[in-house]
Amino acid sequence: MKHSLIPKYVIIAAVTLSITACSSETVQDEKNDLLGHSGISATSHSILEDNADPIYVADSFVDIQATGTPQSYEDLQDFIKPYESVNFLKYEIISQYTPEEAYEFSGDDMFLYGATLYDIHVTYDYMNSQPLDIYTRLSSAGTPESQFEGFPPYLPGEVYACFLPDFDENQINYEFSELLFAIDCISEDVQAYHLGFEKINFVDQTGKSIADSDFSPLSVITSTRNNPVYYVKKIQSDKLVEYLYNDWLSRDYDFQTSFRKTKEEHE
Amino acid sequence: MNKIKILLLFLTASFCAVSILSVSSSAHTVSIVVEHDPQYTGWDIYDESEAHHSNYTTAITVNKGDFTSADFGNYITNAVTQWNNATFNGTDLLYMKESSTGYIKFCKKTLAQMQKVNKGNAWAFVYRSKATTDSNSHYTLNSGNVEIWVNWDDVLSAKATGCKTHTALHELGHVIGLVDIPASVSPNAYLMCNEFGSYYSVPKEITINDKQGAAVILGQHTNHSFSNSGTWNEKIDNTQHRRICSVCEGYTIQNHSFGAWSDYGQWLQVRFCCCGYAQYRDK
Ligand SMILES: [Zn+2]
Ligand SMILES: [Zn+2]
Ligand SMILES: [Zn+2]
Repeated sequence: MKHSLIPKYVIIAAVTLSITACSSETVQDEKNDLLGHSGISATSHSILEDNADPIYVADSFVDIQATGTPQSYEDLQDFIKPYESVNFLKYEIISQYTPEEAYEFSGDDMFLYGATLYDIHVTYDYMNSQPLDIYTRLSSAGTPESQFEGFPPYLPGEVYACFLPDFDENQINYEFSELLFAIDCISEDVQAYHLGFEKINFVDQTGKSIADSDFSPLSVITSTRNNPVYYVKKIQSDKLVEYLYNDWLSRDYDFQTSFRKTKEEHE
Repeated sequence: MNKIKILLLFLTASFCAVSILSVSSSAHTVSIVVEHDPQYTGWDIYDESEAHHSNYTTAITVNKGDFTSADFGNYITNAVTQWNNATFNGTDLLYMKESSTGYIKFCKKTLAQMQKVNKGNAWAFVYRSKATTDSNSHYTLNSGNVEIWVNWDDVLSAKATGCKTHTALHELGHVIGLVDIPASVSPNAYLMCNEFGSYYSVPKEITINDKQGAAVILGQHTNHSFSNSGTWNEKIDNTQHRRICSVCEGYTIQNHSFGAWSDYGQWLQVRFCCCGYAQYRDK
């Protein structure tokens, strides 16, 4: 794989810069430089409101009929255990590569038919309670033409929390999809919205779900007119982090510690 | 299973107009005329416009690919043999064989490789996005055209023998054109069930329901058999009934067709449809 610190950015859409309130202030200037030539106008919106100007219409939906998919949080452990360590990271989508750019950058033809490459800014390591300032790349299943239902392509400015297995800032990272949450950081009380995977429930030792019981599953139009994102649960982010931390600790999973904390340390 | 068969022995007259008795098919264009909501059939198949194997006489050639007899290879061999030996309604169901240039290729993949092209983890899937098809949505037969991705090293190798047997058989079912059966129909009664989690024992053989679906999509079974027995006609609402083929359990939806009015007690008359639905009127 080729590495370059300043990749070619593709700015694809009008985005909401106000959402970047989640990011550390120190990198705001750099980000504005990166986004600067795109003519993006900053508007304020909640992640629970439909985007009035979605940029895509999906041509088709990917229908992968997988076997042995996890039917519960417990089943999920089969797929976490093989990793050397676990993490739970917060990141913001910075920009999206075209398929050709992604292929040129990575040499992986997967980006021509099955996945999309993004630049992301990783800002927080929940398991070690430490801020991070890492610019890296994320591969996500599906393309604007061929999407997974309920998982439209990301827009710059969107903020997520997820387990990124084998995280390495110098590699193309990828999501552990069952543990992907959209983060709403407009309110004081930060909320995590679980994308899809209704059967993966976060239940404490008393058998009670940590999710907000008043929340009904919600479809919200983001990047794609005919493919809203589907939030199935709302969980207070502190509760979610505490849950994952305690659960993973009890299972003897190792927490990934190999993070570079600041840009300066790296340079 | 949710197949309700209302047996009304006294209703044998030819009340129902039989509109579809036989279905034409040629070697390459199989016309699927029966409906197949798995809630009623126990099987489901891809639509004709979606990629699947062409027909029951053309060999489904399978390359073990990245696997050997030391790992998943023997399970693949077992699955190919089981599918090839399967019969339906007294004749061969399909033709499947192993070949080093098979158009189906089993590939050993990592957790990372599979997550990068799919939302969510899995033991295995048919990676159809890369496969080419002809103008009839039938897979072209070039070597390695349809890849079956299997997470062997990290997950499936540690599972029980039955899971491995199931996975090889089930994935080949998808190539044939069978679609997954959701837990709302059954979590584990058929080979094509896929929402079994850790707590169910997975099906390890091709059940009659799986064969029914395969026979329909491959054109092995085209002469659907409808009768006026109440067993094979099921009321949907006051307008329609489901007319079920007694061989494949696929069905068509038709309006009720009533017999003659007859006296019902002192004041009323009644007439019946073959599905058992009764209409009443004043005498
Ligand atoms: Zn399946
Ligand atoms: Zn039939
Ligand atoms: Zn009827």
